[in-house]
Amino acid sequence: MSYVDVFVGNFIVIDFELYDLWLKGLSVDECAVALQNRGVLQSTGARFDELISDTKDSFRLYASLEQLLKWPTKFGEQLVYQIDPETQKILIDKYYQFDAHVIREILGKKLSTRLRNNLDEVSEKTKVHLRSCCRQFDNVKRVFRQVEERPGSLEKNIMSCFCLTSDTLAKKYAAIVFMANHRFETCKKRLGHLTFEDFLYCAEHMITNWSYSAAECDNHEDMDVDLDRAFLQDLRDLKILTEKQHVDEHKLFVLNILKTSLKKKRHESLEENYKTTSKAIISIAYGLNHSKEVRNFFSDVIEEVIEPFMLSHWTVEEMKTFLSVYKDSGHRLSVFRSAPNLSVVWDRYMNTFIKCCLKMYHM
Amino acid sequence: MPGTLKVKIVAARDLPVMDRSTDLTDAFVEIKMGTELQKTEVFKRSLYPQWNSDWFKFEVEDEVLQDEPLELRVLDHDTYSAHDAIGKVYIDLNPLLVKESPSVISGWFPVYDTMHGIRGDLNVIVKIDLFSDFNKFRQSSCGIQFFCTAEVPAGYRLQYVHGFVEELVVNDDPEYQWIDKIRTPRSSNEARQRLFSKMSGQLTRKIGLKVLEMGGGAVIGFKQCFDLEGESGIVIRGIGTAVTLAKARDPPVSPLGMSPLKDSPVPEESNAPSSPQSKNELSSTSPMKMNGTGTRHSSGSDASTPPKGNFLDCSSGSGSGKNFPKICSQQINIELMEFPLFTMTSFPPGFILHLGGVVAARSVKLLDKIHNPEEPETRDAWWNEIRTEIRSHTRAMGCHAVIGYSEETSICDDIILLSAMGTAAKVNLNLDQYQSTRLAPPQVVNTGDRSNMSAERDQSKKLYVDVNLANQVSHRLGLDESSPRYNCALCHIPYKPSSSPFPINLTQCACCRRRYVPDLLFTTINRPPEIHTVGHGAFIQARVCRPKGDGKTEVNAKEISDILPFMEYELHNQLVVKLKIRSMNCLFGLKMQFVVGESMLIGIATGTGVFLSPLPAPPVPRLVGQVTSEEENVELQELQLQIQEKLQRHKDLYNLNSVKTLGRKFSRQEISNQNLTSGVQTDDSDDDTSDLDLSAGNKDTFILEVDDTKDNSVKAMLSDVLQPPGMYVCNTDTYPGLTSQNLASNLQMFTQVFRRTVDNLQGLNKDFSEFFDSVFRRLFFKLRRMIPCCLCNVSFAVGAPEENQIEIVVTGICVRVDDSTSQNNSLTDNPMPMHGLETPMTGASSKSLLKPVSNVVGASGENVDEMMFPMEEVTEGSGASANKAARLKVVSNSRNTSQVFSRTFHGIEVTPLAYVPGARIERYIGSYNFFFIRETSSVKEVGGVCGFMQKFITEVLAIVRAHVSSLGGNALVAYNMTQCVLLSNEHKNQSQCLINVCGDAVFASREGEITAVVPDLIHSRKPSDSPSFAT
Repeated sequence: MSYVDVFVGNFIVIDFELYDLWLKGLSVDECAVALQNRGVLQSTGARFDELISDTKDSFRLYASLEQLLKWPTKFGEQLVYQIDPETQKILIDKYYQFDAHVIREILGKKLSTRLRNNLDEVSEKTKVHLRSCCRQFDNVKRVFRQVEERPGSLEKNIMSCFCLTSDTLAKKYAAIVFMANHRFETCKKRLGHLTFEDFLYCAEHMITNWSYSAAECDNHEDMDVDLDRAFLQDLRDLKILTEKQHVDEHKLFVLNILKTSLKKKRHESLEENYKTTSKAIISIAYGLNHSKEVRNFFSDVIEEVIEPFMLSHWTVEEMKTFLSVYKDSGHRLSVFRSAPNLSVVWDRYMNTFIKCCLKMYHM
Repeated sequence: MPGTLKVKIVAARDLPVMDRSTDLTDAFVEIKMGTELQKTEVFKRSLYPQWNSDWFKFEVEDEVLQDEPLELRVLDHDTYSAHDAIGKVYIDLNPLLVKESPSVISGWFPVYDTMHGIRGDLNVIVKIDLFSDFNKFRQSSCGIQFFCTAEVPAGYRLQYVHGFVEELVVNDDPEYQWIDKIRTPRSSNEARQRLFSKMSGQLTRKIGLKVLEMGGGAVIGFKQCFDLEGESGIVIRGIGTAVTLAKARDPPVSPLGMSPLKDSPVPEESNAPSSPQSKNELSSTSPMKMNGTGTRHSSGSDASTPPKGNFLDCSSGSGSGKNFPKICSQQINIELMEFPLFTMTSFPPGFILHLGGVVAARSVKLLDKIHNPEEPETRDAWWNEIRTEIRSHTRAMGCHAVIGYSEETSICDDIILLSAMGTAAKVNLNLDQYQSTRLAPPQVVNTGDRSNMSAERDQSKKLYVDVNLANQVSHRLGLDESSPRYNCALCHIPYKPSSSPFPINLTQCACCRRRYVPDLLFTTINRPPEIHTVGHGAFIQARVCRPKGDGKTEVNAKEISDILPFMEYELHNQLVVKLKIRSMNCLFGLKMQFVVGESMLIGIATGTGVFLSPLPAPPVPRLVGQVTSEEENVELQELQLQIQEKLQRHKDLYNLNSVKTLGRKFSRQEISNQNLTSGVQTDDSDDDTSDLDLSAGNKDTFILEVDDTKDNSVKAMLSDVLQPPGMYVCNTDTYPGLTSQNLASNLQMFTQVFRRTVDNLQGLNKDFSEFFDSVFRRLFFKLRRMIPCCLCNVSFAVGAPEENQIEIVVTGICVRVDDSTSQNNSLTDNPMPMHGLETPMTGASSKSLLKPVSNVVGASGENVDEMMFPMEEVTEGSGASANKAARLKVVSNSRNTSQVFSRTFHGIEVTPLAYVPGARIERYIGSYNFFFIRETSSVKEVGGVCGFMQKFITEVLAIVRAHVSSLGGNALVAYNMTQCVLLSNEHKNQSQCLINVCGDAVFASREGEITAVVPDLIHSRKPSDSPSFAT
């Protein structure tokens, strides 16, 4: 067989069909077979050997481009590869694409070398090639490292540091970084049914409403990877709602309003569970002040708020009605009148909480 | 003290981490010119140092400026130990020494290390203040321009050809000196790189001196070759053609577009643009007379002697121009040039009078130590022998010049094989007379001549309007009335039929019927635009590989020289067979390479086959064999059938179905002695392939003798890998059958390197062919997404680096083909392809689209009034076609976007062609030539030898591009990878590779972004500004 066999062009021309397969982590042979099955050889009269050679050649090129892809800003200041901007854009965007079910597995985990070494389990579970899993993990880790300490909007930072042109992709990375930064627990058994999209949705809302970049926050200097410290401290004030008199008052409002809109059976079960539910919601709120509690946010919501309702077969609609009534009637409480700040905090917390809660409420 | 060099180090970026503890680097730069060394400050702890230094000044002799590059070395400062090298930047200063070139080099240069490759970039500004030096005895040759381009550079016109220049510089190879045993690979490589570039600088300077002596101003078709002779040293050879160029006053535009201008009633001005076409038109020696109006032609006149009238004009009208006395003396002296060798491959129209054929010479020598590097007599003597032989062949062919001349060597241990080849031709060196007629007022011309000329002018004008109004119409008229641009005289034999130098089948020229033409024509040049071709061109390659004994020295040399003629014969045979099976009768761009390996001899020949209409149509090859059994007879007939099928397929592929029809047309016109086949040809063309040749007479049959039905030669003939539909392949600059308009833009310049081990020497030839076939399949597969495209200038370099190893390096360029619908239709439906659309490559721009613009440019000059008339003519004549072309453009564009591959991005183009498709070369900035060495002791880590090579070639291209852009250019034309030597030891995990590249940096502007003509002043230094010294 030939032992030197290379093709070099003045312009970098990418065969994106092949590039996609490379990103999927296929080996040269797997890739060539896949292409052969798609019939690429028929038009030119080339043989399998030539296909293998071409694939190897391209893989070598991609491997050397990978150094740039890892730090895409370097594309602009390098002279080695002559790539047109359009190709460059597609190269980068494709490189940073990921499989939701792979990322789901590493979501919220510490991005350690140990985790990377255990990616073979992820690969086995998700049926995604290990090399692709590693790439996705490395991407996440690199993005995390790069923006973790950087002030300003998470999404914008990611877009500029990694030359991403799609803001949806940048948003996703922002959510992943946010989750990883707070190390949200996502792996408990009772969270197993939640998909990456669920977490993505929750995280996005947390970033927009609870972090430093939220509209309510007046100190925008810090990064939006972190939750707004002032907000968290204000959340402590909600503890007052767990006092008996307020709970009772709140309960009265809620049940009164819901009398007409809820079925009787539901109404009864709510009456029974109201106290624990309300307590759970509020304790989750003031617990956010402790990073350990933050970590357990999702499992707490599931365990203490959602599961009891699930057991009594509430629908999402019913749940939604309840939660919005619960939020709105809060404002009528006497405490809120005495402390106007409280109602702002209450809205900021409840709005996002309800959204998360409903998103996670899978039947 | 001829020059002050000023260097400013601005910044660096993306430097490697040199200090592990801080992950940073303390970088500084050493600037070295000649022996003088200066340094920048240390920029601490940064991978992006910003020095923004003051100007470093060096006062340098121009000899040194020419010989040595500016050397910038980036280092990491280390307080306690030696500073660590990061890498180097070499900047060739020669482009700054030429008047018309840029006065500043500025930009980012990759920092290159021979052990690590590119490590970051360095931003540098370089300037030179030159003082003029009138010293007669100077050793420098500043100001002589060198072009790798093997034709008259775009934007220039050829004023005068002085002849062949050659030089040879010899030195010891540092790799083989004792010191190499104790120094690091890095310093050894660097010493070598420096030596190579210094030698190359010396060579160029010495050639420049020779050119100055001859009175020339430039070298075109300049080629440098490095012979790495191992123990006996390094030889750098340079050959080129010394010429005097003059700037064409107007930007180069296509002849067709400009021609009406030239034929305007005001000859002085109209001739000024001196587009090559106009020369042809006015040329009274032009065979156009023979074609167009036979009555005026006096058959006895030898075209090589210039008519007196013009000759006198030249001297009388020239005034005091200092070149003219020389020209005149030269006109008398053409014969005294003693068979000049021209390295150019394309020529202005009218230059070539007759083409003889390919001449070649080879010789095998034993290398010995070069005792006196200052006087490399042996090497000089060897080449002189070879050139003498070439000249004697030329004379035998009745020619007086060699064009498309090239030399090359192959070295294996102590054997060196020297080869030279070219095309014997009769040429006309006095091109300038046509330009000088414009200097002379028309009155000076003697009356007889004048009436002739004006008649001609009228006629040509009329013809041009014809052409512009309706291309197709004029072409449907057929050959006899075709435009005067075609000239069949080029194909006429330069010798007398009775005294042909070798047995050859002569027939009457199918165009003029007056002279004789050979049945086949092989040439080493690009297709001259005056020759009429039919159909498309075909890439044709012949390969021979023979095992060789392992004799030593003399025995070895003897064996090799004994085998060579047989190999050459076989190659020739293969070429002939492959041409015939494609119904073609001419090869352009023929290149032959013979390689000596340890255990084998390799010979390959590549060329682009075409069908020339003046030459007879080749007959169908017919198999004849010693048939002993019925079985064999059947097999033979099957083979014959296969051949015929193949022939038909080729005809379809290359659009040659009209060939027979043409033949018939002529035979009807003039049924004369030679037409034995006419009876058959009056049949429908469908029948042509069936049994035509079995019934035809001996003379028109091409008989292939086969000893065995399994004969390899027949198999090989049938089994060539054909390109996929929509892809065209040729090894010339333009593709016969496609116009420059069709070649829309560069898609990809490619370099392919293959090396493989041959398992058994028994099946060597078969293996060898299969190897090439797979190379082609790979190439076609790789470029499949670029269809419709044309692979131009595909060139092969074979090598036998180690025992049982074969290496092939393929380079070429993939050009997007704009196959607008009209072209397709005309090629398929019309028996006469629209060859009128073809333009000579000197005006490689697209004509119809440029036409209106070029007129505006012309009109912006001094003589607006006088331009008015021709402009009107243009709008009348060409408006329709321009519009049509524009419309077609739109159509094809919309079609192209649907293609999988399309590229709108224009970076720095690197192309082996002499032009940039879809763009017009505005100015030449300087030639680039550099020798790169790369070594690694961690082959596995960089992805094996393949990874190493891929990376290295990529880096070389990157550095080349950086140099082009630092000079203000955007393309490198006539790019050539003259050397690629890979040494690899996988057991030691080591590899080393040497690459030499060269080309001409240019600035080319694209269609649609045509700017006003850039005044020369902006980018060139005015010599009057600097003080002059007469030492």
